[in-house]
Amino acid sequence: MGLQMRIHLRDILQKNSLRNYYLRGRVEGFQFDVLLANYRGHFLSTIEQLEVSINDQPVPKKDILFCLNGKEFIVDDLKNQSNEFWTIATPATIKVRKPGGLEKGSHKVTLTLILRNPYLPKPGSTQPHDYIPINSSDEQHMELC
Amino acid sequence: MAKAYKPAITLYSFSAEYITGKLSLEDCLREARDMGFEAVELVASQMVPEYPYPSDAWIEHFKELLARYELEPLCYSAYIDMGIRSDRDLTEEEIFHSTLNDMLYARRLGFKFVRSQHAISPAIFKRMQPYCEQLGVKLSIEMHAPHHPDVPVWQEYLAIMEESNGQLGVVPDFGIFAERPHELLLLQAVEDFGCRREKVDLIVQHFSEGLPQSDLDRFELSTAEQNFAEEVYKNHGPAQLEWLDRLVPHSFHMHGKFWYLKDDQDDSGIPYKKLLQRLSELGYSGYIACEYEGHHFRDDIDVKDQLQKFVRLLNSI
Repeated sequence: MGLQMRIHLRDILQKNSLRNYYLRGRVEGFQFDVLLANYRGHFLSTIEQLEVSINDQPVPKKDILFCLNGKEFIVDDLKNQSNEFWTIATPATIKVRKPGGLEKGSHKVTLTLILRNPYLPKPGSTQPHDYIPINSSDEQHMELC
Repeated sequence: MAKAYKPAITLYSFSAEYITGKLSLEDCLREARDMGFEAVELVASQMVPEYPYPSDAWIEHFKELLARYELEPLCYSAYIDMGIRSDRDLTEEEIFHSTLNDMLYARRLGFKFVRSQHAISPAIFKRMQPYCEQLGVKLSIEMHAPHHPDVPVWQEYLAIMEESNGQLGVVPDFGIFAERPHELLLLQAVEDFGCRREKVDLIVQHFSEGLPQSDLDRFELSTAEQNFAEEVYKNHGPAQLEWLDRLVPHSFHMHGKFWYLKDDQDDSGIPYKKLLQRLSELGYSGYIACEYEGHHFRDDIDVKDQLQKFVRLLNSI
């Protein structure tokens, strides 16, 4: 994908964060925590791509929620969140709706997370709104807590 | 004797420690104080928890920390995030407002300066002047490589600064004076990009002797080595000391950028001794904020040791 930024000094998918979550007393799905692979924070509207696979099965976009600052956003609404700031010190929680959740044990979590770096246009680009991507993707085998 | 420049620190130097959670913001401030710094620059979008609108409670907390560690709030560093909207770039009006917002919070936090970026545009930069006067916060643009005073837009910026009654200025980043690639760039070429060390050394030697890049053709360089040579030739050249003469009158503070110091004698890529000598002759008495950036390349280097070496280098003039 050409030039991209990635500051990978720490884990992106957070160890010990994979767990099932409950809604109205039932396991509604599973969730895990994510940190940004950059040296500074960014507005959620700079997220260009957010995809999740669990054990190599892609999760439908409608089943993903991105949770930050006490709020939950559907993927298609992230592009409008130009006042919601994700700092590099704050883990975001990704929730995946999957009634019954995950079974105990290890699961392969694949996260594709690409943002625009909103102050760094691609070198040589003559197009407006053409920025270097930040790659905050990760893949880990995670133990269900 | 003329007043001399003073060392300050940008907390960005602690990026790796902050990102990995080894140091909190308070730890960074304590380290800065313990190393003898008196003034700090803060990259707002890096370390302000509720950026861009920090709460009253956090503002009070931060001011208490500054008081506790006896640190002067020097500069609140901002970006021109042109591309935050998903549908289009920000308009001039929106960039004006985001810059004003950063200035308002800088004032509340007690900072004297806001550092912006060259993407602000001459029109918006000029438009900020009355707000600087009203708020008591000066606005500067960082001059970062590959920019330098002869770049056309900088001619405009310098003219605007000249007419700004001291409200608008520049933060020269010493990276603009890089004569040779620094040691970590060479290591990266070898370890990350697969260049052969002897070829990397050959390219640097060749470049340092002023030989043309086309002469490298006979050395059978790999693609990675050719790319490295391209970068060396494109991004480095003899330091233009006279740039300082033009920048000093408009410099609110400077960024003492460095990536790796073997010792405190000089930097292997940026001729600090010569540059600092010139600054002294010019009577520059502002801050030079130490800006360690080795964390872009490696995370196994002792940042405190690097900063201490750099301060000794600054104080050796």
